[in-house]
Amino acid sequence: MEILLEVRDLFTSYGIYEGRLKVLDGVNLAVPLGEKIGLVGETGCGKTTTMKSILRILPPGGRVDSGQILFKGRDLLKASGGEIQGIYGSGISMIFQDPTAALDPVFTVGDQLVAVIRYGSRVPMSLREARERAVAALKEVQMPDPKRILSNYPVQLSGGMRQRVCIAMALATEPELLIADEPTTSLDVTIQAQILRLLYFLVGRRNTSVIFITHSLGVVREMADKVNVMYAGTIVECGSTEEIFSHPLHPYTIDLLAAMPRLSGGGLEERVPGRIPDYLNLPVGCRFQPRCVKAQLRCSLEKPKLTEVRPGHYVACFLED
Amino acid sequence: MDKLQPILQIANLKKYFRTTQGTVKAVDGISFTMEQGETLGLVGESGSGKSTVAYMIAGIYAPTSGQIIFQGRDISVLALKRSLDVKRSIQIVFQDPGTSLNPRRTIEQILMLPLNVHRIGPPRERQDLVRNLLQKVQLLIDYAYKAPGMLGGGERQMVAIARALATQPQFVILDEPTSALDVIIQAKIIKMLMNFQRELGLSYLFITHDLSLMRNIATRVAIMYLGKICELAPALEFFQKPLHPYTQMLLSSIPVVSREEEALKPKKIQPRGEIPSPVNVPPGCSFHQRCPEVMEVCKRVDPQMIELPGEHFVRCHLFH
Repeated sequence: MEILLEVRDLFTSYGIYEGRLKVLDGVNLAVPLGEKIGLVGETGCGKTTTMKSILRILPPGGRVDSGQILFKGRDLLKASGGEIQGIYGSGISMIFQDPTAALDPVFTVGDQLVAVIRYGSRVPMSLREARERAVAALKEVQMPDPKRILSNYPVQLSGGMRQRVCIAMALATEPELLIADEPTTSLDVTIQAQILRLLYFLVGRRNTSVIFITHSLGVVREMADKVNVMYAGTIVECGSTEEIFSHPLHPYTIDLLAAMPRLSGGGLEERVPGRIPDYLNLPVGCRFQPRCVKAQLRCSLEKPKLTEVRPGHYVACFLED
Repeated sequence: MDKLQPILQIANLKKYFRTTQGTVKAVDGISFTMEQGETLGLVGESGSGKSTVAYMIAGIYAPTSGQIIFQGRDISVLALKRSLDVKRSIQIVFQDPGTSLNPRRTIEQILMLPLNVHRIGPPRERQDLVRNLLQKVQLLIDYAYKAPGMLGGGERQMVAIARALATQPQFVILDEPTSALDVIIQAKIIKMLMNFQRELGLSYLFITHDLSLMRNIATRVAIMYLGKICELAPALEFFQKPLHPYTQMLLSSIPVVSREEEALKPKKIQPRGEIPSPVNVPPGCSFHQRCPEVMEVCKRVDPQMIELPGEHFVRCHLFH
C-alpha cells in the first residue's frame, strides 16, 4: 500500500522559562493513500503538537528536535519556503477545532473562500471562476442558499454552519491529505453527527487521506480506519479500529475505554490514578509507568517500543513482549 | 411509609429575556418535581434553556413567571431575597472551574468564604473544616495554599465541589460539571459525586448534554428542547423506550465505543437540521421542522405534556 505521509521518530519540544518541555517522544505515524487515520488521546497528550509539527505551525518556542515528516517521499521539515507554499493548502489542508477562530470575522465567507481557492489553485484562476467554485464548494457541504452565504460574515452563521464553511474551504483545493483537529468538539451532538457523516462522505468520494485528531473514542471509532492511541507524547497502541476496540492491549487504552460511560450501562471505571506527567519532570522508561497498575521494574528502566503483537496491531508495552 | 415531601417542585416556570432582536423565551413553561435523594438529569443541546433553569433555581435569575417550591417554601425570587438558610441548602457547581474560582484567592480562602458567610462551625475550627473538605475530595492538604491557576482542570473542579459541599446543602445543581474534562477524570469525579450523594442524602439536578453519562447515574431523565421539556421518564424506562422523536434523534447521534451500545441506538432516525433561533420559535411544536414523523397538526398546535404508563411523560402529538 502506498504511504502518502509518514512521520518518523518525531521529537518536538517547547522552550519555556523553566526549561524544555519534551512533548513528543519519537512519534511514528503512517498515513496510507485514501485511509483515515485516527489520533486519540487526552488533553495534553501531544495530538495537536503532532499536527502542528506536520504543518510547521508550532508556536514560538516550539521546535522539532529530530525526526522526519515525509509527504510523498519529500521531507517537509527540510523543504524550502517556496516548496512549502506549494504543499500546504493544496496538497495538505486542515480543519481546526474552533470554526469561529479559524474564520476571519472581518471578511465575508465568500472573500475567504475565494482567496483560498485562488491561492490553492495550481493554475491562475479568474475571480469569477473562483466564485463559481466557492458556490459549488458550499453546495457540496449542504449549505442552504450558498450564494447568499457567500456575502455573509462568519458571525451571521451558527457554529455548525461555520464548520461546514471550514470543511468547504479545506476540501475546495482538492487536497490529498486532510488533517482534522477535533472538528466537532465544539458542536452539539446532533450537529456533530451530521458534520461527521458529511465529512465521511466527502473524503470517501474523493479518496482523500485523513488524519483525524480527537479526544473522543466514540468519534474516532465512527470515523477512522486505523486508530493511534497517544499518551504523553508517545503512541502507545495502534491498529485497525475494529481490532483496537475489540482487543485493546495497552493498559492505558484499556483504562481509557473502561472510563467511558456506556449507553448500555456501565463504564465510568476509575482505574488510573493521577494525570498526564509533567513534561518537565518526565518519568524514566515508559511514560505511562507511574500510573500503570501492571508496571514492573523493567518499565521504569527502559522505554518500550511499538511492536507488532497481532497482525497489524502494534503495542508499546513490555507486557506484550 | 408515606411518600416524602418532594424536595423541589417547579410549576410552569418561564424566563423570557428581552433583546434588541425580540423576546427570547429561554424557558417557556416547564414543570417537574424532584424527590429527596434523587438525581434528575436535565439533558439538552446548547440553547435549549437547561442552564437557565439551573440559574433560576440557584437564584441567579428571577423567573418571569411560575413557581419554584423548595421544601415547601416558595423561592421564585433572586438569591438576594432568599433567606440565608435557603441559600445554604441549595448549591451549584459550574461547568468551567477555570472561571468559577477566583484566580487571586488561595484554595483556603475560596473554601473559607462559604463557611464564614453561613457561620458554619466555630471560627477557630474553620481552618480544620477546610482541611476536611479537601480530604473529602481527595486533594492534598497543602493545596489549601495554592491558587486555582496551579491546579489541573479536574482538581479545580474538585475544589468547586468542595466549596458547594462546604455549606452542607441538601440540593446541589451540577451544571455540566465534567464536560470540560477528560474521561478518566470524569469517571473519578462522577464516582466521588455519587459517593457524596449516598453518604449525605443529597439531591442532584444534573445538567448535561451527555446521555451515556445519564444512563449510568440518573434516576430520572428530562429532555429539553427550545425552552420546553419534551420527555421525562425514570432512567431505565427512558433508555428502554425512548418515545419522543427528538430523544431518538439525540440517542442516534451519540458516537459509541461498542457493539452493544450500537444496538441501542434508534436506527430509523437520522439527525438533521439545527436548533432554530429561540427568538423565532416555529409555530406549533417547536421541533416539527426537524421531526421525521411530522404531521399536519404539529405545524399548528403545540402538543401538551401527557403521562403514559411507567411515569413516562412525553409532549408529542404521536402519543395523543
